[in-house]
Amino acid sequence: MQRIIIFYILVFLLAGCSNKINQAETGGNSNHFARGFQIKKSGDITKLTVFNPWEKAQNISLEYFLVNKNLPVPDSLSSKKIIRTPIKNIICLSTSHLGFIDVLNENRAVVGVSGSNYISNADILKRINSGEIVDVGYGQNLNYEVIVNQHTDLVMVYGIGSEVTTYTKKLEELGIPVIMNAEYLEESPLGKAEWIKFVGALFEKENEAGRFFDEIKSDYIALQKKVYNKTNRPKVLVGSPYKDSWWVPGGNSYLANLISDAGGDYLGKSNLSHESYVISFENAFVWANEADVWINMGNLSSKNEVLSADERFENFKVLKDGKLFNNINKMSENGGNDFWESGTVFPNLVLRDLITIFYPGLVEEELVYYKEIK
Amino acid sequence: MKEENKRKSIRWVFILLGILFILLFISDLLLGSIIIPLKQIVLVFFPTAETNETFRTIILEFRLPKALTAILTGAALSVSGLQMQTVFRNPLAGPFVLGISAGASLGVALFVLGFSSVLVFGLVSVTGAWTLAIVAWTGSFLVMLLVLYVSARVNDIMTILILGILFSSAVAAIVSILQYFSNESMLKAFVIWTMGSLGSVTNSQLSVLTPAILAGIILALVKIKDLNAFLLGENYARSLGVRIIKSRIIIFLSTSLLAGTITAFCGPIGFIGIAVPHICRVIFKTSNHLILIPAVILTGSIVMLFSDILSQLPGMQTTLPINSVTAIIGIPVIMWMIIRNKKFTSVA
Repeated sequence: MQRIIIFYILVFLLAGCSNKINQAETGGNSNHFARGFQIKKSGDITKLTVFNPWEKAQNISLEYFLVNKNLPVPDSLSSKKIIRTPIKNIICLSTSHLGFIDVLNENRAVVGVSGSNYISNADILKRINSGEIVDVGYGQNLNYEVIVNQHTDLVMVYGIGSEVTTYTKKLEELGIPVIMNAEYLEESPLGKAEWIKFVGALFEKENEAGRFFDEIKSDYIALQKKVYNKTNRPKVLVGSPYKDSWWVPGGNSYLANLISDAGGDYLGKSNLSHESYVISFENAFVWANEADVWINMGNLSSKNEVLSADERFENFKVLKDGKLFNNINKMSENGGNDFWESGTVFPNLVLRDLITIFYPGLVEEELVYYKEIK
Repeated sequence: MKEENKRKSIRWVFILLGILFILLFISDLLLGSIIIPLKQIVLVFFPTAETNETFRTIILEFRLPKALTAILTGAALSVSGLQMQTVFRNPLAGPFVLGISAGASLGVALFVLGFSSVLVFGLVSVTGAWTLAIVAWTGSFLVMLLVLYVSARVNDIMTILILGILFSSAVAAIVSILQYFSNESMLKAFVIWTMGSLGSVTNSQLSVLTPAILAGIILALVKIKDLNAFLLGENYARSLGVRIIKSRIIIFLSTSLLAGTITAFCGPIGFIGIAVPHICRVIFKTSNHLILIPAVILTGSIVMLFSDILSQLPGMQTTLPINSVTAIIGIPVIMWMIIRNKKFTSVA
């Protein structure tokens, strides 16, 4: 008994401490949704901290100190990671980074991308074709010579696993500043969008980024309120199989949260992970019999294509009686999907699409990212 | 007297394996992510008003084709593995030594990793059920033609073995280059293909798979006598009147048909083809193909049915890739046999 009491006292004390630390550290940081980063200003210096920047990372935080180009770097920071701002050029290794840069009106700063085939932004594509922007390869296969040759101020990377540190170290050795962007790990749609502040800080555009985010946020919340009290929620099936493995988003993932915010009842919600997981085909079949709506079925763009992908879909009740919508309305010629590019920055538009799909007539707008599959 | 005892015991082993086969086949229909009561399974085959439509679809459209595919896969890979071990007189030979799966994987890699970005939004969808099977089969068919061409001209069987291995390595290198230039989703699609899958074969695909496998097995049965002669060496076989080159071509044709078709529909499924013939030689204590061929067909099917049940993780939402299951359950069995029976590796 005594031990239990001591335990509770300790927990209480520790909880109190950590709260205090958080408040002190946050000082002025107004993140409402994003959990993966923190901006802290002290004087002329901005400290960016990124927390657990890859899947399954624990207790990892990376600190970056942003110092204006015209100011000297204080000696106390000499051993830290310094980024001189405002950055004038950048190499982005994910297409979602480009979405943020586009709304900050900084497309001209981009000098390198990864996987140029999968980019949707017309402006960026034009500059890739003219040779102003180069493709620097991807992941472990980065072309370091090309990167060095671009004389960039910063490389923005993301990591699926801890192996990302092997190439961030290599880039740092080459004297190229690197910053880790972990926006893709955010579970909440607004949390993802809030990374605009993180990207904004690099361009010294914190105010623009803040204003932009506030608009997105209030629009998102207003839309959310419209369906908040709906009780008869449509059941939603997500994804499509590869062979017989059917990958579905976890019940706490970005997409699952979007569906729930749009007043839908996601059939995979019982798994509380934020990562995708694989279900068996027969399990998917049972869900497909319950579902009212089926969304995000890969690259399939017509019911005929759905049927040719696997003849067993014929037995899916949702195919006969339900509605099918796919997030392929804004695909580029090469197969880039703007859903993953600007959709990250405009979760309000994705939400509006989903509400239109789930509750036709409630919001009178054209679909942006989604397309009905007939 | 001794001979008769042996024959009797072989008959008993066949009966026991047959019972095991039937039990596993029923279990494979019974067990899966969705729990279906035994009574409903009976109702599916003898429909009444009580039959649950969902269960009916799950059993007839998902589990039955999957179980039949498991049987065909086990039988086909084991027979082709046995043939290759005999023809090459090498215990490490398997259905894929001729480069059949390498050819299939090159076809799939070229398609998924090489051209998919062009094709996805064109006429053909990468996810199309038949597309992958067709490209994989084309790949292995081309390799088969190459092997037949070489084996009709080269007398030394070891030359064919070495050429097969070299060809597989060359293909692996090309596949690596394709992987190097692919993005994550393409890589994932390709990697999932290499893990093998029984459950994506549909009833209409089975109607192609089944005759192809039966044809391959019939070719093997026709050549039982020659296979037995090969065990004693090609020179001896020749002295028995076996026409080596012709016989070899028919056996290769059978192997390519069996291994190539399975790889086309289910992906490269490892381990079974090498292991099952060894298991059967130990159980049946014979190297006579008249007994071994039916034995590997039955044992191969049993092992695949069992692996499939495990890979379904009965009662759970998720599944495991079949290729890892066959390796994880099979390798310990083989190790145990090697240690217990030092002689088992000798093919003859």
